[in-house]
Amino acid sequence: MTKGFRIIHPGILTTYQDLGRHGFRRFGIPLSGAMDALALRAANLLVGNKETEVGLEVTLMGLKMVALSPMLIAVTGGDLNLTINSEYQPPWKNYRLKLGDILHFRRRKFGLRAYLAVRGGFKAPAFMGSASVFQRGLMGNPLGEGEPLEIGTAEQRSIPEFEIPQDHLPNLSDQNLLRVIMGPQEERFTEEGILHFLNGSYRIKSQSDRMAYRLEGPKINHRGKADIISEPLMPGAIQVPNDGAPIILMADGQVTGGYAKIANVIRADIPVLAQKIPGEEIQFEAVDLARAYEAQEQQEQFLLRLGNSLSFS
Amino acid sequence: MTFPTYQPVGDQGVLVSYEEKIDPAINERVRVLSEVISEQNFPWLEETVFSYRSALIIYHPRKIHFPQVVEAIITIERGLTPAPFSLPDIYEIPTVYGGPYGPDLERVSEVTSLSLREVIDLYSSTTFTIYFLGFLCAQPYLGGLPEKLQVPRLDNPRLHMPAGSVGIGGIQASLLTIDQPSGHNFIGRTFLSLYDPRKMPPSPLKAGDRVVFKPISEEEIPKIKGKDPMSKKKVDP
Repeated sequence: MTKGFRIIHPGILTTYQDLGRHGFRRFGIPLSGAMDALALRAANLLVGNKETEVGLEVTLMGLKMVALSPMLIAVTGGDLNLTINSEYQPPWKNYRLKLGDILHFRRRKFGLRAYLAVRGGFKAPAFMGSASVFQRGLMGNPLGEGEPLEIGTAEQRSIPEFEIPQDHLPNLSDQNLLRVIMGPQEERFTEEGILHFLNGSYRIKSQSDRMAYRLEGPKINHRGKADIISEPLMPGAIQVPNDGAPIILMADGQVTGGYAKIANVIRADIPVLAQKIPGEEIQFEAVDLARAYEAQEQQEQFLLRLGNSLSFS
Repeated sequence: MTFPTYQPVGDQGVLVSYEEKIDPAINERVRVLSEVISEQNFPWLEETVFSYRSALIIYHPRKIHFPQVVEAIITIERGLTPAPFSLPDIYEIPTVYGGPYGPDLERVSEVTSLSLREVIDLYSSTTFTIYFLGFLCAQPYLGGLPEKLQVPRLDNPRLHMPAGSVGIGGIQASLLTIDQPSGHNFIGRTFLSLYDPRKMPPSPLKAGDRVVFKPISEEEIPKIKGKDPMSKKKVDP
């Protein structure tokens, strides 16, 4: 184990995240993990880690820390105006840090969540096989001031300096359209409600967090009541309570819920939503499963190519 | 409509739903279906979750697509045999009723026209069944609340209720495993440890178990504080 960083300022919300806890939803334990899983997976590949390694999810602004040893890091996801020793560094590339280098995520320029991976991964306490912080479930806490971050040892393999060109990224940075699979309670909504949902524009409300994004926009009316007998759901579920304003469940979302769901955001587009901030507007487009699978496959191919470029160059 | 139905949940899930009611036999079927599917070691299976009348089967879309998942579930569903009868675990949950521990006991008494004593007696003599663990952090969903004790949820949910709170929300009884906001009517509180993420499973309670909220006095809190619920006895067949 090696010394990684010391936190000078923890920022608004900085947490350890990996790809979540799998297999525990039957105990009512949310999946958790990186909100923008694509970005974390890419960050890990950029430093030669397994995709599942623990990284930092940095939210909005403020994280400042100092490197306690030389190491290889990568930053992906939103552009939070990262400076290394006061010099701006764009996301989606890896960097070699020297002892004493100071990283500062100053303020968001674009997106909401940046991911920082380090070669060897962060050593963080794991609960149920995952280090993803889920504070409400008593599984870890956001990083605090002065906290030392330790990193694991990596195999000896040289990783080239690498930057992913913007036009190679699978998600367009200005994408506002989220693709959805309709249902499973589409029939509980009026025709007008469904039209509103598919043609309207929805603004992200400030009460949005890692559990759920709350939206406001054209009202999505139910034929009858909004309540259903509680049933299992997953991140991406679009619940509509009685007031007709949709709520999209995210990584820390509950595993069972009692509101009718008009649709589910496809897996490939959840990272897009994870980078939206309150006040931004999104729209929905209904697609079939074939298109959803294809969109996910494109992301998988992107990650495969990325992994290959780093192994053979 | 013929049940069960099979519907896509996004591009990773299949929702299997039975008749739209809260019923122990239906719940038993979704539980067994869920467990049998989990036991198959399907390489495409991510995990299964179930609730009152539905099971969610989560798959890896790179390994299988929706129609083949449905086919696999239908084969299992048709061959399903009732679970071998096993005696459920029954847990006595020591509960302090009223006062600061049950801020809504008086409201429940007013709405039901029962005395405080009668509310406590009826609630604590009821054997509740755990239908499933869900929401967040192993929250048990309890069935069996007597009709006389059904009280609508509060108009304004409280922003903070402590773990261990015991109450009533409409037709459901509730037992909070972690601190949370809630609109239920809370009539008592236990001080047992009901959720520990360092343990596997994180809660000793499980679907199919029975719970009874046995009244204790305030003075007895130190004796139970932080302890695990103990399954006291098995129910006679």
